Amino acid sequence: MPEPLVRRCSSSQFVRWTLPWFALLAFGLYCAGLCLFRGLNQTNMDNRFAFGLWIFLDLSVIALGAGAFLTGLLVYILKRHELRGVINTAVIVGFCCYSGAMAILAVDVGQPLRAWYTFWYPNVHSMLTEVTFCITCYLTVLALEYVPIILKYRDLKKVPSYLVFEFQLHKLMPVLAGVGAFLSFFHQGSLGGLFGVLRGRPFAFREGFAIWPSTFFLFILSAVAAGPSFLMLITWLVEKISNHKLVKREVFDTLGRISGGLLIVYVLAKCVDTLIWINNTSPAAGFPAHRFYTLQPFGGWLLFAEIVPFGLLPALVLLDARRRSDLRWLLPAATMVCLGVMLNRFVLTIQTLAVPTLPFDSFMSYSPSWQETGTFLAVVAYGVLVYSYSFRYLPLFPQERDLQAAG
Amino acid sequence: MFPGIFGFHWDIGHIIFLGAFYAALTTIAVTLVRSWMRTRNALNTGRESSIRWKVDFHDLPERSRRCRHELSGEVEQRECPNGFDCRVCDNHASFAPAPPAAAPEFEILGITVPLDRRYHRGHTWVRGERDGTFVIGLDPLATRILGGSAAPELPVEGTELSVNGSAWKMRIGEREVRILSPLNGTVTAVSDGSEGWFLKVHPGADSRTTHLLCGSEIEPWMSHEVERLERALGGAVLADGGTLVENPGAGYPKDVWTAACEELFLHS
Repeated sequence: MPEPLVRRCSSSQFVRWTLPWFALLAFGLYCAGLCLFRGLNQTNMDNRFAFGLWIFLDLSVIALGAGAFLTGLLVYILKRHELRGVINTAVIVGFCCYSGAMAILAVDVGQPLRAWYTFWYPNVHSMLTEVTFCITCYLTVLALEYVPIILKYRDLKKVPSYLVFEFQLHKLMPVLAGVGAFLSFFHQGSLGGLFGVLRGRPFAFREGFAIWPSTFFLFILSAVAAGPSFLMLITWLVEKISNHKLVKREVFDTLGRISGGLLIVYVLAKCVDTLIWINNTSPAAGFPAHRFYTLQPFGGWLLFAEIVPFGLLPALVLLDARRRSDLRWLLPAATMVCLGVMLNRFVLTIQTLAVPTLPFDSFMSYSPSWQETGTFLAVVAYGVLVYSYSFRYLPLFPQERDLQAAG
Repeated sequence: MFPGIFGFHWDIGHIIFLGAFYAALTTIAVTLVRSWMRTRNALNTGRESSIRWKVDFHDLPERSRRCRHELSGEVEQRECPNGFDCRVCDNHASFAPAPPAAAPEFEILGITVPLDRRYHRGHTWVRGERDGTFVIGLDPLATRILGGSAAPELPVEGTELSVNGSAWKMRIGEREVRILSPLNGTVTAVSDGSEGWFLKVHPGADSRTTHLLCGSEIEPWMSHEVERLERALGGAVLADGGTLVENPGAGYPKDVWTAACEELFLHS
């Protein structure tokens, strides 16, 4: 086995850690194979419930992966050098999230041999076309940002052309960070816009600005608020699992402050948007908003939970410097932020489709099949494995050696 | 997708959407091509060595990038922004020159360090000869760490050296340690180290040695280096003082020793 760059666990320990994930990946690939070869009858989705577990989790991981473009923007363009400690992790987490989401979409859409159709015959009036284009481009950007990290591997660095290419590519990183931020803003927004333009679904339909419904902006805000929190949680989790201190505590503080600041703006915008929807948009469509919450189990508590315990409260904790400096407050708050954004994606994906829109419609329920669940778990296993190998063999945390030496 | 393809119209939606998409795609492609062209250019003009140093220096831990004036106590805290090349430092001239050492040598961990020469941060020393050339050797700490069994892999005479580029390599079994050049110049003679030096160099156009440590700066720097070695090895070995054994790496796992050597010899 190759030698790690910094002190890591023994090879046998590492193999023991990766084996269950490989097993999960193999099971998930089998499930995905079933869905690809036998078709979507392997899932519990149908014509009415066309978006299920996969789209909900796709939207969630793409929102959580927003830490990659935000951190890139902050480090390379806004020169917030204190976040250099987590930039490599941000890139790898972002890469895993986006490539995993694309893999799931490939299974969901099916016919992977015709994937190029979406680029050759695009429907420029569809939000999904914008999403497809931006995500494909952004994944390319993430792959290019990942390349210099891989080229830092000791044996690769010995090859002069790799070393010089890594150096030159790194020098142009601000350009990639800028393009990444541009693409991310638009695809995060378009994913939200996708729901906001559903005129036939008054639960999700929103008015907006020019061609963009308000959900376009809310998705961007919630993603950039959750990204830093997710990055912090991943870093903390890796610290715990590896039993190594990886970043200075100030990095967590900065990520918490950024997350809190953006989250409070999101919560305020969400409140305004909800009030406009309750008093104007929904009644204008012929549906008093309260009716949507009489359908159990999606009661009014879900809206309250989204705004207060998973929005306002963690934002207040993250904005309080004293509480932010205490991991017992900081980490639960960051967890709440991440769960909050997932809850929001759940509401827009599942609740939107479950709510009947015609008088003869009934409330629909949906639970994923084991093939759907297995396919998603493959993406989780893939992410864990990519990160684990990167953590073991690549210098992800520039502050680690100093922190290790300081004991 | 393109003009002429089914479904394409010259309307504002197509133009804005596809224009933005192609602009992003073009920027990504240009970035990639530009990196590749710059790489080819750098390799063709022999800049690999200086780039390697820039990468290594950038990736070193903070404690390994301390300014010489911090080590000598002239400033409280300062990280070197110039890759240990004081010749290009705007602030170096504002500090008083290091006074000469009070004694001809000092001892640390059983190692005698002579003070009649200049030292490079990568653990080489430089001494000017009467004929205008410089001899370069490994400093006593590096010699002790690598041990007597380390075999040098020396450059051929006529090789051009540049400050902080590779000068030669020391091989210990399968392991290899790259030694950084303290000077610009041309190798005029090589030795296996039996005479205390490895290279004799005719200085290049820029023969300044202001980036090398001298006089009273050497002792605090060497103490700092011992501390760095101790930390890189996990702390317990040298804490009680005593004498540093020859080739202490033999008692350490390969990864720990490799990391310690990389840190001490300023590779990342």
